[in-house]
Amino acid sequence: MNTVHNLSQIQAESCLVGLARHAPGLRAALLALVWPALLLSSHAQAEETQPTSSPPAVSKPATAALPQPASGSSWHRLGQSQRQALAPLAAAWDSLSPAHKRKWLEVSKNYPTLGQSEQAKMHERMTEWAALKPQERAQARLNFGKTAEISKELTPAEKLAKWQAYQALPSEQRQELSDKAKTRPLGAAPAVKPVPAQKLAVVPPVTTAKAIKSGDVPATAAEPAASN
Amino acid sequence: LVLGLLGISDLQSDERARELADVDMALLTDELPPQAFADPGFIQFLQKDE
Repeated sequence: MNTVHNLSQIQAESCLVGLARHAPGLRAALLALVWPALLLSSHAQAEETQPTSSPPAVSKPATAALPQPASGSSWHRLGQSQRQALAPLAAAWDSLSPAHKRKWLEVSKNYPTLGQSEQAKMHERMTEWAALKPQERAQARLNFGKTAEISKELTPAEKLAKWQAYQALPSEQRQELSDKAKTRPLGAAPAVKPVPAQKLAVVPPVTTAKAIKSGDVPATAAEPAASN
Repeated sequence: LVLGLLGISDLQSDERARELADVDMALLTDELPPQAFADPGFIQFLQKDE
């Protein structure tokens, strides 16, 4: 794979040189057009060949050396409304990753739609949330979805009472519950948010499935099941 | 081709950032603090209680 890629790169380069010999005026234009593409492809290849099982700590220096995107890279280049929405992150902003900054900039777009009390609550929690490790945040998002599912019949006050009851437990008991959660087998990559019910395939009732098998039901009746 | 791929990658990153921003906003304005969701024991406690 690498050899093939290198060969194609060499061929492209030699082709460029040949063309430039016959039409010297085109040299600069051709190089300007093709060179970035060759550089990008070799960079993509370098990323591709990195071992996927390497710990994040090893790959960090490489990503830190990459240039950051110009948009929103510096706190002072943000707009007034963005700075206001993301004020608690001012000190840590320049140390955030480009993807992390992108997410916060999206948050800042919706921030004005929140009520005053919600804005204050969000500001209060923003710093500690940003300080969590990406893996911890991913797990918390997943738990948020699960908690919403489990406690949908509870009122906000009841939910808060449950949290207080949990905090009041002896530390050994809480540790036991945490260990129990950790030992559970994990599935595939965690979803960012729960899948909406309308996106899930509708499983036809057993009787309908039997009818389709035996050919009693016309093709149009079987469509809803096949559409997803 | 390269520009197209870069464009697609950029669109996907934007979409992902929007999804994460939506979830994070809901999480950060919930009645429970983020520690509640970051603590794996709490969800076990809720499930057990249920």
